[in-house]
Amino acid sequence: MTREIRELTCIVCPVGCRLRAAVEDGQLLDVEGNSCKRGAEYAQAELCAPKRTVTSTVRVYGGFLPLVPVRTLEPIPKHRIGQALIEMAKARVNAPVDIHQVVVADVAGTGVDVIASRSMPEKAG
Amino acid sequence: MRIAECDIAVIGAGPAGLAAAARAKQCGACRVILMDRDRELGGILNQCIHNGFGLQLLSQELTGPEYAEHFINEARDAGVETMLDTMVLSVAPGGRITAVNRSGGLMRISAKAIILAMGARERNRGAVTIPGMRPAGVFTAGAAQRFVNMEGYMPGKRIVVLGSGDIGLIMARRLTWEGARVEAVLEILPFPSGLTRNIVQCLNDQGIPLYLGHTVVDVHGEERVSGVTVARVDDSLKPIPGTEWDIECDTLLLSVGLIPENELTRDAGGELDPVTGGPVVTDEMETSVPGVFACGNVVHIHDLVDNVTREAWTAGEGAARFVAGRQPAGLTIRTRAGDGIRYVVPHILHLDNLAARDVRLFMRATRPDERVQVEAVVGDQVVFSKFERVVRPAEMIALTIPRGKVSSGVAAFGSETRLIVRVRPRDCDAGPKGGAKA
Ligand SMILES: Cc1cc2nc3c(=O)[nH]c(=O)nc-3n(C[C@H](O)[C@H](O)[C@H](O)COP(=O)(O)OP(=O)(O)OC[C@H]3O[C@@H](n4cnc5c(N)ncnc54)[C@H](O)[C@@H]3O)c2cc1C
Repeated sequence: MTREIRELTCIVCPVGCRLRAAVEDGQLLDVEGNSCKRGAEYAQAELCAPKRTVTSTVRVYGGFLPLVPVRTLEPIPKHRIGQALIEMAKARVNAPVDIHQVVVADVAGTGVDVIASRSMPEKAG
Repeated sequence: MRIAECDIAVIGAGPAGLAAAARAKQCGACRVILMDRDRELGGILNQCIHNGFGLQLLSQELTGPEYAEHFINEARDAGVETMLDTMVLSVAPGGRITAVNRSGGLMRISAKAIILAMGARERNRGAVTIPGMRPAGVFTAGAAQRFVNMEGYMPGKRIVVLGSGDIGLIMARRLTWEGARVEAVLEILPFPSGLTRNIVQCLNDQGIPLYLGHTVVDVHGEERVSGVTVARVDDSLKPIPGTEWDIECDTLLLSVGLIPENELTRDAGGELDPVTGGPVVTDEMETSVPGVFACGNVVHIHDLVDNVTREAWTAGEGAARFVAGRQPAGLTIRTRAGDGIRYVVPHILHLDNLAARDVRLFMRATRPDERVQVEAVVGDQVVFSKFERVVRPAEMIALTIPRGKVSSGVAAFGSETRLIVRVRPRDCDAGPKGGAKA
């Protein structure tokens, strides 16, 4: 049995708690230093299957601005980020766009949708 | 000239202005006008498309635009009037504002109270004086952020970032995700100036090297940047001869800090704090000019938008009370940064407020430290103290003094008494969950 302490910085929110995770044979035993329960969940995920929320922009036809910002509705596996970015770069939407409208469904086969992170009115005139 | 009258005029429609305006209206102010020079509401948040906003206040992790939209809707629902594409030119003491826009031309707006929420601007190359050529390809990180995230242009293909501020870190990842190569991030100080989570997700995740204690000593290129020379610095931040090397790049981004935007504050006659670069304020967020309030990055640089909103609510309430003639009177006590603390905001606290409500103080540590007590002291009495596992200059500390902790008895100490906030190393055995670290 190998028991080790892994030091992690929680990135769930900007507070950035320093976590000390006790790991034995690849299993998470205990987490210290988190100030909310999301920190413990983060340690679990980061040590077993790391995920990230991906944010980018998508081209808009006829919008007040040429781009609308988007994000994955949930974090996606780190190794799918590259493919997700390619799909977002290829996507196009028509104005008007509603906030939280789905812009790319099931991005990179992750089962997670990419949604607009603001509303985008049509270009005036 | 067009003339408008209102109860409260709010200058700047970022998260600070939006929340202050909405709160002032909700607290009973009649006509509240919110002005911004930009084409839409939301301020800097519109270009901050990454996630990390609102976790404390809205219990959700939002992107900048989503956070902005929440408060734009709230301001609209509260009945705040907005004026976009409107540049405020001056604020005269007494509440007279001069502004200009395309449809109305030059305008005069007189308000019973004013809330300053102009945010901050980025330090640019001039402000940090990098030697070398003056080719194209040197941008502030925030300008690059606006190009990439709002206009859809890439500033370059091979990038070096000078400064480890959050905007630079966020942009290092963003540009990598858009297909550019970020060669390095250089930080002159021995510790990063951005949030730790941004070091983790923006640099470590992308394999971008961070060189602490390094700076750019030369910029090469005729028309366009072709590379930079970097060097290690000594304890006094001077480049060490012999440590130089070259990095090829076509773009240099500067992420070397923000400066509160206070031309109008100065105009209005407001006293400034040389450390924060923003106005001296009371716990009502009132500046030294009666009836002129301030909140957000114009007062001091925030790393969390949630704290901007909280501060803005205080300013909105304060301004509404001022208009209603119900502002606190009586004795005040000044705050002061003690050992290990660089600054404390607000600067002036009303004893009446300390007795009647919780009062929140914001501060920054001078240097990184671990396992410390942050304490507020009046005379020789510790009135409030809070354990912090880690303090870092990059991460603002909030200390809420519960109501009634500072008794009105401190008035007896005289007008020279200060409420001092300081950092004290914690006694070894007293940490929660038994300190494993020696
Ligand atoms: C790049 C970046 C990344 C960040 N990342 C995070 C994060 O992940 N999480 C988080 O919680 N916080 C983050 N922050 C911090 C937070 O977003 C800011 O502290 C906050 O937006 C500041 O709000 P503000 O309203 O004071 O200023 P701003 O948003 O800058 O708004 C000021 C407004 O005033 C207007 N204005 C200025 N002068 C005039 C004038 N004379 N007349 C008319 N209008 C004027 C400007 O046009 C602007 O719209 C980040 C900040 C930046 C810059």
